[in-house]
Amino acid sequence: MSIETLYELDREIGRLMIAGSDLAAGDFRLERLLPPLKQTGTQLPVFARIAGLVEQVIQSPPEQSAGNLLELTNLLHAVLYTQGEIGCPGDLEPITVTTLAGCTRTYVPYRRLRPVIEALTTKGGGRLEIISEADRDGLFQDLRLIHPLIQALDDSYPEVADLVFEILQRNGESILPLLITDYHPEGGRSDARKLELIAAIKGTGAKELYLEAVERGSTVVKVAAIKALKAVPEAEPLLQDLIKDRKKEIREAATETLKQMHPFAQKIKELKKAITKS
Amino acid sequence: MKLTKDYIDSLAPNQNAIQNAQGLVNKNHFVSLFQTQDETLLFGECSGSGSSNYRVSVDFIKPESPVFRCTCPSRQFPCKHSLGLMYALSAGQKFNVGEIPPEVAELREKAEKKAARQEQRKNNPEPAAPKKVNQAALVKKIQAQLQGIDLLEKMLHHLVRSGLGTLDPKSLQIFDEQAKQLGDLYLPGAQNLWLELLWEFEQDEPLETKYNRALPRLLKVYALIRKGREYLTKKSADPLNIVDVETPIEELLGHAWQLTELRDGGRVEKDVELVQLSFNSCVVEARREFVDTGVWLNLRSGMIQETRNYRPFKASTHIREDDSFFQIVQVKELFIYPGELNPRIRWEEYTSREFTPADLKKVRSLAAESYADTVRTIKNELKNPLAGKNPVQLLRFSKLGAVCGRPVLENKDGERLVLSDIPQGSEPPSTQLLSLLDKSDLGEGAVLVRFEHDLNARALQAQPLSIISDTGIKRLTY
Repeated sequence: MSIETLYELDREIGRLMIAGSDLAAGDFRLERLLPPLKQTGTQLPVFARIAGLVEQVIQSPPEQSAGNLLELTNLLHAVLYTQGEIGCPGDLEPITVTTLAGCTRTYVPYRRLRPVIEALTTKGGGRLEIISEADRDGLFQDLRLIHPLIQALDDSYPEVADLVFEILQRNGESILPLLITDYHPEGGRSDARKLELIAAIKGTGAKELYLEAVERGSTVVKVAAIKALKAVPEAEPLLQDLIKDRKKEIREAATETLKQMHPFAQKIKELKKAITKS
Repeated sequence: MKLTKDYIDSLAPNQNAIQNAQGLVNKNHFVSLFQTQDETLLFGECSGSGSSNYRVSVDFIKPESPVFRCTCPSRQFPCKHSLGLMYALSAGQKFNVGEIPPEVAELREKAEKKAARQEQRKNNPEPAAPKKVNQAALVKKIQAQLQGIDLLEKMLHHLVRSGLGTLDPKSLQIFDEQAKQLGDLYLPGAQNLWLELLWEFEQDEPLETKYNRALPRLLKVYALIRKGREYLTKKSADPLNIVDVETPIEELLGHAWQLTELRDGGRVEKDVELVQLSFNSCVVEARREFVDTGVWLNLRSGMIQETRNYRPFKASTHIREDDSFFQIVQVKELFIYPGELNPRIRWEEYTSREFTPADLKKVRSLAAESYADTVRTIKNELKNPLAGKNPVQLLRFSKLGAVCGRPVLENKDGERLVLSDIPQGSEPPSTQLLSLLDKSDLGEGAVLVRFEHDLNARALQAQPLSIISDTGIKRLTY
């Protein structure tokens, strides 16, 4: 309870710092905190000192208000800095480890690593060259580049996004846990790209994920899921239904996927069309 | 002679120089490559944009401080040609044995004579002539500094009386102008602190966030006014003999320590080996400079110390950018700056050697066992408003696991420490990498952590910077 009073006092000080210490004289909110501070001060001298300084702040003329408020804040913070919690009760579980196939070390020096991270996480020209060069030099074996790579999957510059896709794909199935952790079917373009990468690695193996995305995903993720279903023959009736969807992007994706599922039928259709024309 | 790529990289002023130097080697721009019989000098010719080739040499007569010479007009030092010469050697290119070029021999002779004179002076020191110090000027300077402290106090009181919420672009500009006077009054350190405080209010963030970030700086300015005035008043009584080499007060006021002053003040350690455990470089916009920070473990004292390389924006292309360093640094004379739990260190000359399994064992043995003791030390440091707010310590752990999804360290006595990323810290997030480590990294090892007290969360946060396991040092930041 007494520590709570100190945190409450800290909030009131913050208010006065923002509003100005000239308003501190006779501040009733500070006055309200005096009795509990004084009471604890009978056992803990530091509380008595704080109470004394609070009194000074309340009674100070405007020209001394800043000095007194700063003195009080200084002492209060010296006390609060000793109150930081560090522990954590509960059972200590092992951390679920994801061992990436080609990426287990942290060996790239700062001057080499930083430009690559910047190229992956910012916008602007010249980034493709930096990323390609890093790839040529084998820098992507450094595990500190994995999260920036995943972040760059939906880069606005298609060449960067495609290169990143290819680099991540090289990790094979070992990268899947990382992709799935932050994947949300109802999300945006970045989630769609993650799903595309999952599909490229896992193929039919992630069927449930595609079906879930088709059922409740955002349009962009749904489109990615429909494209991924090309490897799932039993999804054909679903795709046939999606051809009639009210959204154009979904209709187009479903049609395109069906075409890819039946390349031969498509060829016959094209041939018939050509014959009719001639 | 054997040169490692790491060592050559460490000599380069920046990453571009490394790439350009390697480009020279790969594209065969070196017309000739030679080394002397005793392997102390590398020299050669490199084609450039000029009509004649550049004559370049690297002299290892003193291996701890190689001398680079080149006829190119580059202002970067060492230039890409000197670096290229060394990369060519490390890449195994053939160096013919040759006689030392006369111009290099001449320069070497001059340097040897100079070194001999210095050595002689060192061995037979002449009774040093009493250093002439203009006491009146010194007193005048201290008086000016005291005036500066008064000015800083006036500005701080004005700010607190009118309230931080009233700071607008116009008032910020007025404060900014006034801050210039602090520099004129020999208080560049105080000026920087004040500018850093104002900088927080120039950001486009909610007032509450700005306030929370600015408060430690505000209290630091307040503490500097009090301690600075007390110190300068004391110093003005005997300006020649009172110099505080124990606390960081001089540096905070703006004194740039000379190595000779540190030596005279006894802040030197002889024959030390250090290993870098982490590195970072950040931009301090308020001071318009880059700060490269290396976190080092002193293998002799077990202390965590920091190298800080300040590179003002204006001069950044001409000052060497520090980098991660993976070998052991051997220093004959280590200069330790006053104050703090992680004092700043510097050296002038060094040699390096490979990091061995024995070093790994030593690093782990130097990690602190008790979390309670470490946290007590950290809290004592944090409550001093003039000390840094992000101390670093090396801790031992017997298990690195998770409680409710949060990474937690546990030592052999069952003490625990929650790990988390420091929000808006200068280092990138690192806890997300813990799950990518090898399983063997998470049991029985040491971890380098940076602390920060989060007043809102009421927690002492600890961000892991590096994990030291049986297999080596895994850097989670840089």
